[in-house]
Amino acid sequence: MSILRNVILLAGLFGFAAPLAAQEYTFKVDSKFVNIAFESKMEVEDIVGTSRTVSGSAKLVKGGGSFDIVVPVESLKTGIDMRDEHLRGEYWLDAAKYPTLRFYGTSVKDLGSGVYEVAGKFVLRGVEKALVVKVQVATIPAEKAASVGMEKANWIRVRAAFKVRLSDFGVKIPDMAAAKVADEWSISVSLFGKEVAK
Amino acid sequence: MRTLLLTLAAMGSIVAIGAPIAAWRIDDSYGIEVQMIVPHAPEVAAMEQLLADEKTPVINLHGEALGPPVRLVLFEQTGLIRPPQDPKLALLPVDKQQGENPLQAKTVWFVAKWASIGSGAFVLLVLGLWAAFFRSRRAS
Repeated sequence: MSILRNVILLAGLFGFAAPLAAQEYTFKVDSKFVNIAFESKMEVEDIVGTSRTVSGSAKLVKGGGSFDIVVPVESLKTGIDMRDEHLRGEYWLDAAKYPTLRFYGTSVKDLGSGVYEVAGKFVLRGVEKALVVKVQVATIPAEKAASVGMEKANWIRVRAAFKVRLSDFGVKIPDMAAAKVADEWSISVSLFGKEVAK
Repeated sequence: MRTLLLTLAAMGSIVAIGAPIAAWRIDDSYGIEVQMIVPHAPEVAAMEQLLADEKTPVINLHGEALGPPVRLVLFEQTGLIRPPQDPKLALLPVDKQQGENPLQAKTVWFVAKWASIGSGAFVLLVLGLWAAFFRSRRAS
């Protein structure tokens, strides 16, 4: 039964399952297995930070799907408390007013070989911008997951990297910080989603 | 007054010249090009080994890259990982969530550059004051 289920899952994910068009799979992000890294390259220092607190889910159907990923601004850490406070402050991400970053959408295009193009809206500081990202998806059958100590369920591993410009979201870098913080930030995401009942 | 100004100028000159030399010494003696990583949870590390194929970057077997490789100085090197698959790589697990922020060589150079520029400007200012003082004394 589980073999059949995995075959259906893989077929659905890779878009080869025409008779299974109605199949829908929902995956919920497991925050234990999440890594989000962001980087800003500047003359004084390469600022790098992480978040390990992510929530969200993805629905996959044949040939498409939807997703919604949310990251609390409070969870972004760069290794220096004072810098983190500035990052959360009103001139930057304004965590008090806009407590989350969000990426959501309803366009998931299969490019083959486990690569998908997802298009949606990236929301930062309350400003929504269209964003298209290529993601790598690996499917993990329940037996394989259980063999490494993960919960026995079907999983997907998602990897993606993209860039955002702070100025696109209304963040105006103060002159004093201009040498320390770049406008363009590179973001990489690695997360595992567990299949859940619809 | 003359002695004070010349002493200040000498001190400024030492900083202006010494700062880049100190930065060079620190970078040369303690600098290592490393790839900072966020280490995987044990289950994820085991899963990455299972999912890996020949195209999988070695870094991803150990963690997620934290930006591109960067030159670090004066950091605890006992945590460095030299992956057997690519011993030239130096991976450094860094836990940003716990406040870890290893010192980057470019930060040392940045500080040295501005210390040198600032001290150089200070020396010029002091020498200007000394010249003005010397001229006013000669005039009187």
